[in-house]
Amino acid sequence: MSLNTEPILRYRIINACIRNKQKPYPSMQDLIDACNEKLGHEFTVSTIQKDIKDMKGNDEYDRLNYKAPIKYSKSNDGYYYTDPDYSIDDIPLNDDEIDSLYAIKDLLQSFSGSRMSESFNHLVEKLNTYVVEKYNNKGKNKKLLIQTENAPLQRGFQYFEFFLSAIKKNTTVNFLHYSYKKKSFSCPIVHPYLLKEFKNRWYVIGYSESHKEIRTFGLDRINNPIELNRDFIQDPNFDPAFYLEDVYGVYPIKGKGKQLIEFKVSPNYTNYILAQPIHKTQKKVGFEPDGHLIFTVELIPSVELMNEFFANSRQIWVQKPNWIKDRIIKMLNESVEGNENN
Amino acid sequence: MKTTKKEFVYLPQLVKDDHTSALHLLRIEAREKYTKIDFGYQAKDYYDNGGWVNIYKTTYLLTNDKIKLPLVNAENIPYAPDKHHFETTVDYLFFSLYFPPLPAGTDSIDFIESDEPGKDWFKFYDIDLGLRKGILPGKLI
Repeated sequence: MSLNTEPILRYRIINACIRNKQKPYPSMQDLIDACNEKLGHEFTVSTIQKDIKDMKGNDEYDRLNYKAPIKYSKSNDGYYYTDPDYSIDDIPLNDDEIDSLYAIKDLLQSFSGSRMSESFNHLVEKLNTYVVEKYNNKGKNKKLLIQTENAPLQRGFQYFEFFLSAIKKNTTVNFLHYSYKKKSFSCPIVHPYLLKEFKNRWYVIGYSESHKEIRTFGLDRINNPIELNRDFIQDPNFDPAFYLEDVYGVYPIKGKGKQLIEFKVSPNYTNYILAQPIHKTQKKVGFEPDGHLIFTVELIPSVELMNEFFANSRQIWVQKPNWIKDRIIKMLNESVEGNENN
Repeated sequence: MKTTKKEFVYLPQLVKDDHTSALHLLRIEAREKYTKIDFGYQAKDYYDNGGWVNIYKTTYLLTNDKIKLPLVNAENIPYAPDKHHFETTVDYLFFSLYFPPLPAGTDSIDFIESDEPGKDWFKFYDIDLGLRKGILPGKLI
Protein backbone atom coordinates (compact mmCIF):
# COMPACT_ATOMS: atom_id res chain seq x y z
CA MET A 1 0.00 0.00 0.00
CA SER A 2 1.42 3.35 -0.89
CA LEU A 3 1.57 6.24 1.53
CA ASN A 4 -0.32 9.36 0.61
CA THR A 5 1.60 12.60 0.61
CA GLU A 6 -0.72 14.65 2.80
CA PRO A 7 -0.60 12.45 5.92
CA ILE A 8 3.20 12.44 5.63
CA LEU A 9 3.17 16.22 5.50
CA ARG A 10 0.96 16.26 8.63
CA TYR A 11 3.33 13.89 10.43
CA ARG A 12 6.19 16.27 9.66
CA ILE A 13 4.19 19.27 10.91
CA ILE A 14 3.25 17.45 14.14
CA ASN A 15 6.88 16.37 14.58
CA ALA A 16 8.08 19.97 14.09
CA CYS A 17 5.52 21.26 16.63
CA ILE A 18 6.48 18.73 19.27
CA ARG A 19 10.19 19.43 18.73
CA ASN A 20 9.73 23.20 18.81
CA LYS A 21 11.75 24.31 21.83
CA GLN A 22 10.26 27.82 21.67
CA LYS A 23 6.82 26.44 22.33
CA PRO A 24 7.01 23.02 23.98
CA TYR A 25 4.03 20.82 24.80
CA PRO A 26 1.74 21.78 21.89
CA SER A 27 -1.92 21.13 22.59
CA MET A 28 -4.27 19.29 20.25
CA GLN A 29 -5.58 22.67 19.10
CA ASP A 30 -2.00 23.86 18.43
CA LEU A 31 -1.40 20.82 16.21
CA ILE A 32 -4.68 21.31 14.35
CA ASP A 33 -3.94 25.02 13.83
CA ALA A 34 -0.44 24.28 12.52
CA CYS A 35 -1.75 21.70 10.01
CA ASN A 36 -4.59 24.00 8.94
CA GLU A 37 -2.19 26.87 8.38
CA LYS A 38 0.51 24.92 6.54
CA LEU A 39 -1.76 22.77 4.37
CA GLY A 40 -4.46 25.31 3.71
CA HIS A 41 -7.55 23.45 4.88
CA GLU A 42 -9.30 22.31 8.03
CA PHE A 43 -8.45 19.14 9.93
CA THR A 44 -10.50 17.53 12.69
CA VAL A 45 -9.42 16.31 16.11
CA SER A 46 -9.94 12.71 15.04
CA THR A 47 -7.60 13.12 12.04
CA ILE A 48 -4.78 14.47 14.19
CA GLN A 49 -5.46 11.84 16.87
CA LYS A 50 -5.16 9.15 14.19
CA ASP A 51 -1.95 10.74 12.91
CA ILE A 52 -0.45 10.59 16.41
CA LYS A 53 -1.52 6.96 16.70
CA ASP A 54 0.06 6.19 13.30
CA MET A 55 3.28 7.92 14.32
CA LYS A 56 3.39 5.85 17.51
CA GLY A 57 2.78 2.81 15.33
CA ASN A 58 2.11 0.24 17.97
CA ASP A 59 -0.28 -1.93 16.00
CA GLU A 60 0.46 -4.73 13.54
CA TYR A 61 -0.30 -2.55 10.50
CA ASP A 62 2.49 -0.09 11.25
CA ARG A 63 3.65 0.97 7.77
CA LEU A 64 5.55 4.03 8.90
CA ASN A 65 7.95 2.44 11.33
CA TYR A 66 8.30 5.80 13.13
CA LYS A 67 7.83 4.33 16.62
CA ALA A 68 7.43 7.92 17.81
CA PRO A 69 7.60 8.13 21.67
CA ILE A 70 4.71 10.61 21.91
CA LYS A 71 3.07 11.12 25.29
CA TYR A 72 0.48 13.53 26.55
CA SER A 73 1.40 15.64 29.57
CA LYS A 74 -1.62 16.48 31.70
CA SER A 75 0.27 19.05 33.73
CA ASN A 76 1.43 20.91 30.59
CA ASP A 77 -1.72 20.15 28.59
CA GLY A 78 0.28 19.13 25.55
CA TYR A 79 2.27 16.50 23.69
CA TYR A 80 5.98 15.69 24.02
CA TYR A 81 8.56 13.08 23.06
CA THR A 82 9.79 10.98 25.97
CA ASP A 83 13.13 10.85 24.11
CA PRO A 84 13.96 14.56 23.66
CA ASP A 85 16.37 13.76 20.77
CA TYR A 86 13.74 11.89 18.77
CA SER A 87 12.65 13.17 15.35
CA ILE A 88 10.88 11.45 12.47
CA ASP A 89 13.54 13.01 10.20
CA ASP A 90 16.00 10.51 11.63
CA ILE A 91 13.90 7.41 11.05
CA PRO A 92 16.00 4.62 9.59
CA LEU A 93 14.60 2.96 6.48
CA ASN A 94 13.90 -0.75 6.49
CA ASP A 95 15.53 -3.07 3.93
CA ASP A 96 12.59 -2.93 1.52
CA GLU A 97 12.57 0.86 1.63
CA ILE A 98 16.32 1.03 1.03
CA ASP A 99 15.88 -1.31 -1.96
CA SER A 100 13.16 1.01 -3.28
CA LEU A 101 15.36 4.04 -2.73
CA TYR A 102 18.17 2.40 -4.70
CA ALA A 103 15.74 1.51 -7.48
CA ILE A 104 14.53 5.12 -7.66
CA LYS A 105 18.12 6.35 -7.64
CA ASP A 106 19.01 3.99 -10.52
CA LEU A 107 15.93 5.03 -12.45
CA LEU A 108 16.69 8.72 -12.05
CA GLN A 109 20.30 8.12 -12.98
CA SER A 110 19.28 6.39 -16.17
CA PHE A 111 17.31 9.50 -17.12
CA SER A 112 20.25 11.77 -16.46
CA GLY A 113 23.38 12.24 -18.55
CA SER A 114 22.74 13.30 -22.10
CA ARG A 115 18.98 13.26 -21.77
CA MET A 116 18.38 15.88 -19.15
CA SER A 117 19.45 19.32 -18.09
CA GLU A 118 22.52 20.14 -16.05
CA SER A 119 20.47 21.08 -12.99
CA PHE A 120 18.61 17.74 -13.11
CA ASN A 121 21.92 15.88 -13.40
CA HIS A 122 23.26 17.84 -10.45
CA LEU A 123 20.26 16.86 -8.35
CA VAL A 124 20.58 13.19 -9.32
CA GLU A 125 24.29 13.27 -8.46
CA LYS A 126 23.48 14.72 -5.03
CA LEU A 127 20.84 12.07 -4.44
CA ASN A 128 23.24 9.38 -5.56
CA THR A 129 25.95 10.60 -3.18
CA TYR A 130 23.46 10.86 -0.32
CA VAL A 131 22.00 7.39 -0.83
CA VAL A 132 25.39 5.72 -1.22
CA GLU A 133 26.83 7.51 1.81
CA LYS A 134 23.82 7.05 4.04
CA TYR A 135 23.07 3.44 3.20
CA ASN A 136 26.50 2.31 2.15
CA ASN A 137 26.50 -0.99 4.02
CA LYS A 138 23.04 -1.94 2.89
CA GLY A 139 23.80 -0.88 -0.63
CA LYS A 140 26.93 -2.94 -1.10
CA ASN A 141 26.82 -5.48 -3.91
CA LYS A 142 23.64 -4.00 -5.27
CA LYS A 143 22.92 -5.20 -8.78
CA LEU A 144 21.79 -2.81 -11.47
CA LEU A 145 18.06 -3.41 -11.60
CA ILE A 146 16.81 -0.80 -14.05
CA GLN A 147 18.36 0.32 -17.28
CA THR A 148 16.60 2.64 -19.68
CA GLU A 149 17.72 3.59 -23.15
CA ASN A 150 20.75 5.84 -22.95
CA ALA A 151 21.59 7.19 -26.39
CA PRO A 152 24.91 8.85 -27.21
CA LEU A 153 25.06 12.60 -26.70
CA GLN A 154 23.01 14.42 -29.33
CA ARG A 155 24.73 17.21 -31.22
CA GLY A 156 23.30 20.55 -30.07
CA PHE A 157 22.27 19.18 -26.68
CA GLN A 158 24.57 21.73 -25.06
CA TYR A 159 21.85 24.30 -25.88
CA PHE A 160 19.18 22.47 -23.85
CA GLU A 161 19.70 24.73 -20.80
CA PHE A 162 19.70 27.85 -22.98
CA PHE A 163 16.30 27.00 -24.50
CA LEU A 164 14.87 25.81 -21.19
CA SER A 165 15.79 29.15 -19.65
CA ALA A 166 14.42 31.11 -22.65
CA ILE A 167 11.11 29.22 -22.45
CA LYS A 168 10.83 29.87 -18.70
CA LYS A 169 11.59 33.58 -19.11
CA ASN A 170 9.56 34.08 -22.34
CA THR A 171 12.67 35.29 -24.14
CA THR A 172 12.89 35.65 -27.91
CA VAL A 173 15.90 33.91 -29.43
CA ASN A 174 17.83 33.75 -32.65
CA PHE A 175 20.07 30.93 -33.86
CA LEU A 176 21.88 29.58 -36.88
CA HIS A 177 20.09 26.60 -38.40
CA TYR A 178 20.96 24.00 -40.99
CA SER A 179 18.28 21.99 -42.76
CA TYR A 180 19.50 18.45 -43.53
CA LYS A 181 16.77 17.96 -46.07
CA LYS A 182 17.08 21.25 -47.96
CA LYS A 183 20.84 21.49 -47.39
CA SER A 184 20.39 25.15 -46.57
CA PHE A 185 21.17 27.61 -43.79
CA SER A 186 18.84 30.02 -42.05
CA CYS A 187 18.90 32.31 -39.05
CA PRO A 188 15.35 32.43 -37.69
CA ILE A 189 13.94 34.59 -34.89
CA VAL A 190 11.99 32.24 -32.68
CA HIS A 191 9.72 32.63 -29.65
CA PRO A 192 10.29 29.26 -27.95
CA TYR A 193 7.40 27.47 -26.18
CA LEU A 194 8.39 23.88 -25.59
CA LEU A 195 11.28 21.41 -25.51
CA LYS A 196 10.13 18.04 -26.78
CA GLU A 197 11.89 14.68 -26.83
CA PHE A 198 11.09 12.05 -29.44
CA LYS A 199 13.13 8.88 -29.78
CA ASN A 200 16.08 10.28 -27.84
CA ARG A 201 16.27 13.48 -29.87
CA TRP A 202 15.37 16.89 -28.51
CA TYR A 203 13.47 19.56 -30.39
CA VAL A 204 12.51 23.13 -29.61
CA ILE A 205 9.04 24.19 -30.70
CA GLY A 206 8.05 27.82 -30.99
CA TYR A 207 6.66 30.60 -33.11
CA SER A 208 9.12 31.44 -35.87
CA GLU A 209 8.89 35.06 -36.98
CA SER A 210 10.81 34.13 -40.08
CA HIS A 211 8.29 31.45 -41.07
CA LYS A 212 5.26 33.19 -39.52
CA GLU A 213 4.07 29.95 -37.97
CA ILE A 214 4.84 27.49 -35.19
CA ARG A 215 7.84 25.40 -36.19
CA THR A 216 9.91 22.55 -34.79
CA PHE A 217 13.71 22.73 -34.79
CA GLY A 218 15.96 19.79 -33.91
CA LEU A 219 18.64 20.85 -31.43
CA ASP A 220 21.16 18.92 -33.52
CA ARG A 221 20.66 21.40 -36.38
CA ILE A 222 21.04 24.51 -34.23
CA ASN A 223 24.21 26.51 -33.67
CA ASN A 224 25.11 29.58 -31.65
CA PRO A 225 21.73 30.61 -30.17
CA ILE A 226 21.51 34.10 -28.68
CA GLU A 227 18.86 35.95 -26.74
CA LEU A 228 17.16 38.96 -28.34
CA ASN A 229 15.72 41.98 -26.59
CA ARG A 230 12.45 41.78 -28.46
CA ASP A 231 8.81 41.46 -27.43
CA PHE A 232 7.86 37.82 -26.89
CA ILE A 233 5.01 36.57 -29.06
CA GLN A 234 2.81 34.02 -27.30
CA ASP A 235 0.49 32.23 -29.70
CA PRO A 236 -2.81 32.10 -27.78
CA ASN A 237 -3.76 28.89 -29.55
CA PHE A 238 -0.62 27.02 -28.57
CA ASP A 239 -1.15 24.62 -25.69
CA PRO A 240 1.95 22.55 -24.95
CA ALA A 241 -0.20 19.78 -23.48
CA PHE A 242 -2.14 19.32 -26.72
CA TYR A 243 0.24 20.42 -29.46
CA LEU A 244 1.41 17.28 -31.26
CA GLU A 245 -1.20 15.25 -29.38
CA ASP A 246 -2.51 14.04 -32.74
CA VAL A 247 0.92 13.56 -34.25
CA TYR A 248 3.29 10.61 -34.12
CA GLY A 249 6.64 12.39 -33.89
CA VAL A 250 7.42 16.08 -34.22
CA TYR A 251 7.22 17.00 -37.90
CA PRO A 252 3.61 16.98 -39.16
CA ILE A 253 3.37 16.88 -42.96
CA LYS A 254 2.32 20.28 -44.28
CA GLY A 255 -1.22 20.62 -45.53
CA LYS A 256 -2.35 17.28 -44.12
CA GLY A 257 -5.08 17.33 -41.49
CA LYS A 258 -6.05 14.72 -38.97
CA GLN A 259 -7.22 11.60 -40.79
CA LEU A 260 -8.03 7.95 -40.39
CA ILE A 261 -5.14 5.72 -41.41
CA GLU A 262 -5.78 2.01 -41.87
CA PHE A 263 -3.03 -0.58 -41.92
CA LYS A 264 -2.73 -4.35 -42.00
CA VAL A 265 -0.22 -6.17 -39.82
CA SER A 266 1.36 -9.56 -40.48
CA PRO A 267 0.57 -12.39 -38.05
CA ASN A 268 4.11 -12.48 -36.63
CA TYR A 269 4.01 -8.74 -35.82
CA THR A 270 0.49 -8.25 -34.48
CA ASN A 271 1.43 -8.91 -30.87
CA TYR A 272 4.05 -6.18 -30.99
CA ILE A 273 1.51 -3.66 -32.29
CA LEU A 274 -1.09 -4.78 -29.76
CA ALA A 275 1.44 -4.58 -26.93
CA GLN A 276 2.87 -1.21 -27.99
CA PRO A 277 0.26 0.77 -29.95
CA ILE A 278 1.54 3.33 -32.44
CA HIS A 279 -0.77 5.95 -30.93
CA LYS A 280 -3.48 6.14 -28.30
CA THR A 281 -6.13 6.32 -31.07
CA GLN A 282 -5.10 2.89 -32.38
CA LYS A 283 -8.04 0.52 -32.80
CA LYS A 284 -8.25 -3.05 -34.04
CA VAL A 285 -10.96 -2.97 -36.72
CA GLY A 286 -10.67 -6.33 -38.42
CA PHE A 287 -8.87 -9.62 -38.78
CA GLU A 288 -8.21 -12.37 -41.27
CA PRO A 289 -8.35 -16.07 -40.40
CA ASP A 290 -4.62 -16.51 -41.02
CA GLY A 291 -3.81 -14.02 -38.22
CA HIS A 292 -3.47 -10.74 -40.10
CA LEU A 293 -5.02 -7.89 -38.12
CA ILE A 294 -6.34 -4.58 -39.42
CA PHE A 295 -5.83 -1.45 -37.32
CA THR A 296 -6.67 2.23 -37.62
CA VAL A 297 -5.11 5.30 -36.08
CA GLU A 298 -6.52 8.80 -36.30
CA LEU A 299 -3.60 11.16 -36.73
CA ILE A 300 -2.09 14.09 -38.54
CA PRO A 301 0.41 12.28 -40.79
CA SER A 302 4.02 13.05 -39.94
CA VAL A 303 7.47 12.44 -41.35
CA GLU A 304 8.15 10.06 -38.46
CA LEU A 305 4.97 8.06 -39.12
CA MET A 306 6.00 7.58 -42.75
CA ASN A 307 9.42 6.44 -41.58
CA GLU A 308 7.85 4.02 -39.10
CA PHE A 309 5.69 2.45 -41.83
CA PHE A 310 8.66 2.33 -44.17
CA ALA A 311 10.98 0.77 -41.57
CA ASN A 312 8.41 -1.94 -40.83
CA SER A 313 7.22 -2.40 -44.39
CA ARG A 314 7.70 -6.16 -44.25
CA GLN A 315 5.13 -6.41 -41.45
CA ILE A 316 2.88 -3.38 -41.83
CA TRP A 317 0.96 -2.48 -45.00
CA VAL A 318 -0.92 0.79 -45.21
CA GLN A 319 -4.37 0.29 -46.73
CA LYS A 320 -5.82 3.80 -46.55
CA PRO A 321 -5.49 6.57 -47.50
CA ASN A 322 -4.00 5.96 -50.92
CA TRP A 323 -1.58 8.87 -50.77
CA ILE A 324 0.24 7.36 -47.78
CA LYS A 325 0.26 3.97 -49.46
CA ASP A 326 1.78 5.58 -52.59
CA ARG A 327 4.35 7.47 -50.54
CA ILE A 328 5.55 4.28 -48.82
CA ILE A 329 5.78 2.51 -52.19
CA LYS A 330 7.81 5.45 -53.49
CA MET A 331 10.13 5.26 -50.47
CA LEU A 332 10.58 1.51 -51.03
CA ASN A 333 11.36 2.05 -54.72
CA GLU A 334 13.87 4.74 -53.86
CA SER A 335 15.48 2.41 -51.36
CA VAL A 336 15.86 -0.32 -54.02
CA GLU A 337 17.12 2.16 -56.63
CA GLY A 338 19.54 3.60 -54.05
CA ASN A 339 20.92 0.14 -53.37
CA GLU A 340 21.23 -0.60 -57.08
CA ASN A 341 22.99 2.71 -57.73
CA ASN A 342 25.52 2.05 -55.02
CA MET B 1 37.85 56.29 -32.99
CA LYS B 2 34.49 56.39 -31.30
CA THR B 3 32.93 52.91 -31.31
CA THR B 4 29.26 52.05 -31.19
CA LYS B 5 27.67 52.08 -27.73
CA LYS B 6 24.46 50.41 -28.77
CA GLU B 7 24.57 46.72 -29.56
CA PHE B 8 22.72 45.33 -32.55
CA VAL B 9 22.19 42.02 -34.28
CA TYR B 10 21.79 41.96 -38.06
CA LEU B 11 20.52 39.02 -40.07
CA PRO B 12 21.50 39.85 -43.66
CA GLN B 13 21.56 36.22 -44.88
CA LEU B 14 23.82 36.82 -47.87
CA VAL B 15 25.09 34.02 -50.08
CA LYS B 16 28.21 33.65 -52.16
CA ASP B 17 27.24 30.72 -54.31
CA ASP B 18 29.54 29.16 -56.88
CA HIS B 19 30.02 25.74 -58.42
CA THR B 20 32.29 24.49 -55.62
CA SER B 21 30.56 25.75 -52.51
CA ALA B 22 28.09 28.12 -50.95
CA LEU B 23 29.18 30.57 -48.27
CA HIS B 24 26.32 32.06 -46.27
CA LEU B 25 26.85 35.19 -44.20
CA LEU B 26 24.12 34.60 -41.65
CA ARG B 27 24.45 37.01 -38.75
CA ILE B 28 26.41 40.05 -37.59
CA GLU B 29 26.60 40.84 -33.90
CA ALA B 30 27.72 44.43 -33.41
CA ARG B 31 28.76 44.35 -29.76
CA GLU B 32 30.36 47.03 -27.65
CA LYS B 33 33.65 45.11 -27.46
CA TYR B 34 33.74 43.24 -30.76
CA THR B 35 32.00 42.50 -34.02
CA LYS B 36 31.17 38.86 -34.67
CA ILE B 37 30.09 37.46 -38.02
CA ASP B 38 28.57 33.98 -38.24
CA PHE B 39 28.82 31.96 -41.42
CA GLY B 40 27.53 28.67 -42.78
CA TYR B 41 29.52 26.86 -45.45
CA GLN B 42 27.96 24.18 -47.65
CA ALA B 43 30.23 21.79 -49.54
CA LYS B 44 29.06 20.93 -53.05
CA ASP B 45 29.61 17.99 -55.37
CA TYR B 46 32.28 19.72 -57.47
CA TYR B 47 34.85 17.78 -55.44
CA ASP B 48 34.20 14.10 -54.72
CA ASN B 49 34.67 14.55 -51.00
CA GLY B 50 33.28 18.09 -50.72
CA GLY B 51 36.65 19.84 -50.90
CA TRP B 52 37.98 22.02 -48.10
CA VAL B 53 37.69 25.47 -46.56
CA ASN B 54 39.91 27.87 -44.61
CA ILE B 55 40.20 31.61 -43.94
CA TYR B 56 43.09 33.97 -44.56
CA LYS B 57 44.36 36.18 -41.77
CA THR B 58 44.24 39.07 -44.25
CA THR B 59 40.46 39.17 -43.85
CA TYR B 60 39.04 42.55 -42.84
CA LEU B 61 35.90 44.66 -42.68
CA LEU B 62 35.78 48.01 -44.43
CA THR B 63 33.23 50.50 -43.16
CA ASN B 64 31.41 53.07 -45.30
CA ASP B 65 33.84 55.63 -43.80
CA LYS B 66 36.73 53.54 -45.18
CA ILE B 67 37.87 52.39 -41.76
CA LYS B 68 39.57 48.99 -41.91
CA LEU B 69 38.85 46.50 -39.12
CA PRO B 70 41.23 43.53 -39.26
CA LEU B 71 40.29 39.94 -38.37
CA VAL B 72 41.01 39.28 -34.70
CA ASN B 73 39.92 35.68 -34.19
CA ALA B 74 38.43 32.76 -36.09
CA GLU B 75 36.25 30.11 -34.48
CA ASN B 76 35.71 26.65 -35.97
CA ILE B 77 37.68 27.33 -39.15
CA PRO B 78 41.48 27.07 -39.62
CA TYR B 79 43.67 29.89 -40.85
CA ALA B 80 45.29 29.34 -44.25
CA PRO B 81 47.39 27.45 -45.17
CA ASP B 82 45.71 24.91 -42.83
CA LYS B 83 42.48 23.48 -44.19
CA HIS B 84 39.25 22.01 -42.92
CA HIS B 85 38.71 19.01 -45.19
CA PHE B 86 35.19 17.77 -45.79
CA GLU B 87 34.49 14.07 -46.20
CA THR B 88 31.37 14.20 -48.35
CA THR B 89 29.51 16.60 -50.58
CA VAL B 90 26.70 16.96 -48.03
CA ASP B 91 29.01 18.20 -45.26
CA TYR B 92 28.57 21.67 -43.87
CA LEU B 93 30.34 23.92 -41.39
CA PHE B 94 29.35 26.78 -39.12
CA PHE B 95 32.14 29.20 -38.28
CA SER B 96 32.52 32.66 -36.75
CA LEU B 97 34.97 35.52 -37.32
CA TYR B 98 35.71 38.27 -34.83
CA PHE B 99 36.66 41.87 -35.60
CA PRO B 100 37.04 45.06 -33.52
CA PRO B 101 33.83 46.91 -32.60
CA LEU B 102 32.21 48.95 -35.35
CA PRO B 103 32.83 52.70 -35.25
CA ALA B 104 29.80 54.74 -34.22
CA GLY B 105 27.66 55.74 -37.19
CA THR B 106 28.63 52.79 -39.43
CA ASP B 107 25.89 52.32 -42.01
CA SER B 108 27.40 49.57 -44.10
CA ILE B 109 30.45 47.33 -44.32
CA ASP B 110 32.35 45.30 -46.88
CA PHE B 111 33.67 41.89 -45.90
CA ILE B 112 36.91 41.12 -47.75
CA GLU B 113 39.13 38.08 -47.30
CA SER B 114 41.99 39.54 -49.32
CA ASP B 115 42.76 42.06 -52.06
CA GLU B 116 45.46 39.91 -53.66
CA PRO B 117 44.66 39.32 -57.31
CA GLY B 118 44.28 35.88 -58.85
CA LYS B 119 42.14 34.06 -56.30
CA ASP B 120 38.44 33.68 -55.68
CA TRP B 121 38.33 35.27 -52.23
CA PHE B 122 35.33 35.44 -49.95
CA LYS B 123 33.84 38.90 -50.39
CA PHE B 124 30.57 40.59 -49.55
CA TYR B 125 30.09 44.24 -50.44
CA ASP B 126 27.88 46.96 -49.01
CA ILE B 127 26.25 44.99 -46.21
CA ASP B 128 23.50 47.28 -44.96
CA LEU B 129 23.70 47.94 -41.22
CA GLY B 130 21.01 50.60 -41.11
CA LEU B 131 19.58 50.95 -37.61
CA ARG B 132 16.16 49.92 -38.83
CA LYS B 133 17.62 46.57 -39.88
CA GLY B 134 19.19 45.96 -36.50
CA ILE B 135 17.64 43.95 -33.71
CA LEU B 136 18.46 44.59 -30.07
CA PRO B 137 20.26 41.62 -28.57
CA GLY B 138 19.61 40.23 -25.12
CA LYS B 139 22.30 39.49 -22.60
CA LEU B 140 25.33 37.53 -23.75
CA ILE B 141 25.40 33.85 -22.78
